[in-house]
Amino acid sequence: MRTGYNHYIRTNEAGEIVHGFSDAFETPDPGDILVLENGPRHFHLAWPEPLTNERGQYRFRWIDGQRVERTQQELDDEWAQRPPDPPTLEERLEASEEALRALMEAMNDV
Amino acid sequence: MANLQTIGPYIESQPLNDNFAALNDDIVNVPHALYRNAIINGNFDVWQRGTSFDNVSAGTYTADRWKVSFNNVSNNVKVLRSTTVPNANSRYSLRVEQMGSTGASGDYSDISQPIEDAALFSGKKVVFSGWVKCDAGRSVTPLIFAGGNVYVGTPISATSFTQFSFVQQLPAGISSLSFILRVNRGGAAVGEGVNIAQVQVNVGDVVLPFQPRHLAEELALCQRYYQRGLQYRSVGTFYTASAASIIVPHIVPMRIAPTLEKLPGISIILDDVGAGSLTTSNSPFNTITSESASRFDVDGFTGANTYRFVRLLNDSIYLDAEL
Repeated sequence: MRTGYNHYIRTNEAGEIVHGFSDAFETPDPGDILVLENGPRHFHLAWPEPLTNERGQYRFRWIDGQRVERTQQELDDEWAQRPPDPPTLEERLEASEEALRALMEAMNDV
Repeated sequence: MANLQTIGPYIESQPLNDNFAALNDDIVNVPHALYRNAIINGNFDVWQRGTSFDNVSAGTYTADRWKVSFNNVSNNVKVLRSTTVPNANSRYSLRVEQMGSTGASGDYSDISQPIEDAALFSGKKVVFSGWVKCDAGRSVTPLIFAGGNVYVGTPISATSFTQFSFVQQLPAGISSLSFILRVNRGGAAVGEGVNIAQVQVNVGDVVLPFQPRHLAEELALCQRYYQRGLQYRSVGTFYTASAASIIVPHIVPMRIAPTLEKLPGISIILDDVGAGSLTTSNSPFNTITSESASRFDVDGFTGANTYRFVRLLNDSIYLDAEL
């Protein structure tokens, strides 16, 4: 008789662990990786470390059947390459005004 | 007062004092808390997850605190709330019945309740009792799992509500304890089953009268392990036009930091003053939970106002801290 639960992780194309769960709560997809058999009901009881850091970055990779924590340098490099924040409403308004002003000046020159 | 007679000065007071001392000793040393029912929702009043469950797989909770812990051959089993009860102490019973096709030989389902603090019962004698009503040919066997030990009671097959009791001395040093009702489904036709009501576990060897709890007390006890109905109390903000972060204060503190999940097939709806109700079918992520509060992020919205205060509008999230 099985008395515990199976625990699974899901990785993205970069091998980063993006999700973890026990089969008490979710049915695994075909690509999910079984990491623990006969475990506790709750995934976080067997794997208490959060999968993401305070920036929302994935903290771990799954390499050759092992959990490997990403280095701080790697996380910082990834963070530095994130796309810039979208402009605020004020910035967009200012840009629109500037574009309008430039257009009007161009029209005056015609 | 005229009929009273003077006892007089010759009474032997010492034995009387001894009796009172012994009685006092009994009262002081009785583990009162353990004489109360150790089972939560033994009267099947609370059904936060729903009131009917089809093809219940092993490990699935049904009525609060009660799960199908094992199916021997198949999960062709239905668990539902029933209004068939043994007496005026109950509004509901738990019914387990065959579904889909006739039960295979040897098929059974275990309906069980794990006890949180098994150590409290180590080395103690317990009495496991309840009321059972079986359709003709069905039976229920009470079992106790204590650590690695399995204790089996006498099967009940009565076709009208009958009280069972199973007294067992538990070993010392146990770290897990479950009380189980094994429902025999072998040969059961579709719809045949059993009703279970007023389940109780007390320390000792005497079946105490069943004492229903007030619904408010029973619900709070159940919410230590599972909570729904978190809409309106859960608030947060959109941190982008498509993603929000939501704080969920728990209704009562939970046993452990719970697992937070979205209910299957239900979308999450937030209200954004100005943008109206916004919906996503995505699941929560970046979940952080503690015993008293949780938070989660969810994305997939369109048209939200960034940094706008929002509320969770629907019953779409649950918290599970079950054993």
